[in-house]
Amino acid sequence: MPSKTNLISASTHILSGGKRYILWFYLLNLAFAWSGATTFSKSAHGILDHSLYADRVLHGLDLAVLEEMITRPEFGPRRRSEVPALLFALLFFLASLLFMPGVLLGFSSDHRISSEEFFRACGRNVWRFVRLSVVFALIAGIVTGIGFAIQGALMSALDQSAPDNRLLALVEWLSLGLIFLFLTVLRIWFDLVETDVVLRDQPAVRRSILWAFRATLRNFFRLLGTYLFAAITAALILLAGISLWHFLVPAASVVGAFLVSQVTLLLLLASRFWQRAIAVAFYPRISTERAIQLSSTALGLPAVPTP
Amino acid sequence: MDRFERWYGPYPYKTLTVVDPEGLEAAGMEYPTFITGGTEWYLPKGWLEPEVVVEHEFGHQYWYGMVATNEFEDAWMDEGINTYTEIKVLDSIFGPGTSLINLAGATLGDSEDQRLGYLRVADLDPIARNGWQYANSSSYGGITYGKTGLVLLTLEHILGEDTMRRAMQTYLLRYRFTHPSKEDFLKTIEEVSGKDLRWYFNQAVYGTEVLDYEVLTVNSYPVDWYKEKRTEKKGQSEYVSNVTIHRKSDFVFPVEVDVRFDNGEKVRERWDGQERWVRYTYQKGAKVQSVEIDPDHKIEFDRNNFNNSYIVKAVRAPARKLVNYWTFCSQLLAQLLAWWMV
Repeated sequence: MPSKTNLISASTHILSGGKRYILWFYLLNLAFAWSGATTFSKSAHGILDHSLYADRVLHGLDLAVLEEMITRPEFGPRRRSEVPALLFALLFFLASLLFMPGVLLGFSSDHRISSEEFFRACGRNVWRFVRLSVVFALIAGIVTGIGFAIQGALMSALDQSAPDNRLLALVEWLSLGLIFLFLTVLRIWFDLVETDVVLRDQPAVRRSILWAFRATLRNFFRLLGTYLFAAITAALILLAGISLWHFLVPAASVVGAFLVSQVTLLLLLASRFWQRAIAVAFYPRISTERAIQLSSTALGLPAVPTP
Repeated sequence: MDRFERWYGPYPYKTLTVVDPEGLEAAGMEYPTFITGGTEWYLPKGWLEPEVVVEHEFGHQYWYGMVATNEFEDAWMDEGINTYTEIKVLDSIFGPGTSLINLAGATLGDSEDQRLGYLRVADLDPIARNGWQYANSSSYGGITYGKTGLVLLTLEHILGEDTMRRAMQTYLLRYRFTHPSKEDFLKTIEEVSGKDLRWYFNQAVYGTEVLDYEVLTVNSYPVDWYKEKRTEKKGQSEYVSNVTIHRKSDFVFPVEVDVRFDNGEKVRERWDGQERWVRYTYQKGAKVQSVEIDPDHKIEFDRNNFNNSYIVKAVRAPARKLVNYWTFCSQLLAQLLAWWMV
């Protein structure tokens, strides 16, 4: 059984072998964002390019200039800029849904898979992944809804009895942290489901859902600890990137800001792929147990001895 | 208190009580010697709204607390004059351009914030209007607070800071503990400055005229443009340049215009703004590089600051910087969506 340290090193090894997937996803993310920013870019250039007033957003960030720009009639309605950006964000999500099966296959393979194998895996699993996303969204919605309802009730009760604002804020943040933990556990569960669906070419996703649920519970702390390690790394990357951007990059440096921001986003994306690699690295151990279970079922034997 | 006493007049009471109330219902209110602020423990240091609120409520000790104007009929005389002194005091303490927000590189000055509020309702109501007759609450707020503050700030730029301060001091000392009218205030300014400011007050205080000047056209062409074979050499070729300044809206205000050429030369023109447009023509060995109306930034309530200047050769860096931010946020949103849902 891989220890947590081995799991981290095993997943890191998988990740480094699959660097090209991260790069392609990042380029897709950038291309979609650029496309979604076209309207905003055109409107901003139209107003700022020939005006000395624009200097206040170059050397610094004067919020009054920004606000005045987006309220100018020639900028157009805000949704004209916002909608394309949101649509392309959605497009990236759909692209991730489409191509993740190929990535999982690539991660699990000990050799470099061909494009044909990659896209075949994507094609075979697209509908399975859509169904899994829907199920995940439903469960996550219920969990989040219950979580926020409990938080709201707790905050109301505390507000009446203890007027200290800091205590209220602490409770609010702790409950948000708990909701985040629940969602992380959900994500671990469904990462294992997706890994199983792809590697076993499993059309009946409900079987993978049930199996992965039991596997997640049996290996709860190990998986949660490793996933949180990757998540905290991601948070630190984001914090470090924004800090570098603010403190080290001169306000007027467009190229410097672009480089720092994009490296931050690339590393952030890599963190999520790292979590997928953790699931793939952990899979062989728990899939052995599953293989025994499946073999018993195939032979008509009960999976566990009946009393 | 120090600024008010030095600039306008003494605070006559022995006490001042400042209360930070629970919730927003009682926040930001003023009573003689008693004011409420409004802050939250989690507000970062660079978010200066609590300071703005406390300063504003203290200012009411003077405008209307001592100079007891009619809040219903002339709301601008307490809220607006107070907004003007609020801008002055906060800019002197926290710096112009950073007196409301100075956080993680993002900045916003109090006067700029007031201008944004005014721009939304610029042509709806005059300053001198009964408080209950404004078109809506946004107009009431944008005009009595924002426009008045900016009109007085612009007036200060016309008259000079010392003259305006003397005028405000004279107004306070003459009318404290009385009930002055709007003309008492306006005539005091005219008296102290020694200028006839009716042209300004009729438009800015009693009228709804909006101020908007723009650089309409800029072009430079060689004097020998008609020749078939000609070469252009920087510093040697002669150019005819035309610069047209347009008064887009109805507020007539004399402006200065700086015209810069690509050989480093600068020409300052002065226009009274009476006609709708004016054209300046130059013949020089240089082309026009940029044009700027009101280069000393005396006007605080122009409707569109972007068209007050024109740079011939586009500078794309500011827009690219904003597109950087926009793209980063879009990418982050997309990644977070994919992180959780895939």
